[in-house]
Amino acid sequence: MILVIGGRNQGKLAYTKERFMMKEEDFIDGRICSDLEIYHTKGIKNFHEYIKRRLKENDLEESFAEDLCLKNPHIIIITDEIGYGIVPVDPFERRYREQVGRICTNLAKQSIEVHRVICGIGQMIKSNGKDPMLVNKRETDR
Amino acid sequence: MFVLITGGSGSGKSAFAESLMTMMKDSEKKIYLANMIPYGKEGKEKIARHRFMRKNKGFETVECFYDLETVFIPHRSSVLLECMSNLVANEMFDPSSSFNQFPHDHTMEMLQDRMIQGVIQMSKKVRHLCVVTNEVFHDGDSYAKETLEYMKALGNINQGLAKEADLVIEVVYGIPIILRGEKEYESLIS
Repeated sequence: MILVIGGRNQGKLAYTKERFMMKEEDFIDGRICSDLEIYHTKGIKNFHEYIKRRLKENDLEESFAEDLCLKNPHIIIITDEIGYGIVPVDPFERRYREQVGRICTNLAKQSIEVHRVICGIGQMIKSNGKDPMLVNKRETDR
Repeated sequence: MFVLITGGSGSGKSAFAESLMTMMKDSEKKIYLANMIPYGKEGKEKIARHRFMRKNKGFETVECFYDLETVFIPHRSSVLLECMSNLVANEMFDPSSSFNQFPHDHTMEMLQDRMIQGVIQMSKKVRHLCVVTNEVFHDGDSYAKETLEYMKALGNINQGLAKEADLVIEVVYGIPIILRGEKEYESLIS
């Protein structure tokens, strides 16, 4: 699993296509895809919109992130980072931001790589599936 | 060591801060300085979730909703302050805070300075201090006047704390991005 994150309109899709040699049709769109397509696709864009729709329909299980990792372990996920504002007054909006954060934190943990894109430029903030917190520890243990 | 940890909503910054605290081994006591006033059902649930997360991690919980400079912390303890965004909101908006009880004695600048100094003084008294704050600044400015004032205060306080901190980390979905103190971070986790 690979996670590509960043703000809105930062060129995440173009970056991902180039970096991983993927085509437009390799991606489903979180805005319109069916609930189950995510378990079979190579890639998904607008993943945050997918989460939003499923939260609205109230059918997002606690185990969603784990299930996704098990059922589609090689998926490439593109998502907006939406948690960088004032906590919204609206309860749904609040829950939506919180949940996208929690789910992405969970997916980042399982991901082999996490890329963060700003101005179309990607930075790999996690690589080789290593827990960045333990990278140095393991190296000194050796 | 004085550590400042920031991140967006649901970024995993609390869990990260707790793990970091467990790596600071030379303290006699670990104190969780809880700043959130349990408003309503959602607030209580959030507190319960955090309590569950840090259960078995050896924290003693001390509540402090405002006036950080008055809270008693035993020497040689390590403190996790969670979180600055709540503390600032309490000071500014809770009717019982001294800022609201005695509005004529305070300006926003005085409040900010008092809060920054409160944290810095604490960092000097304890073995380690880890302060969790919140990135709420990347979502435009379509907010009420009070909210914009709050953002300004929190932004200034974050900057004031970062200036003094040995280690400043942004947590992105559980992944640490070291903004200051690469060496300090490495010495902590090795």
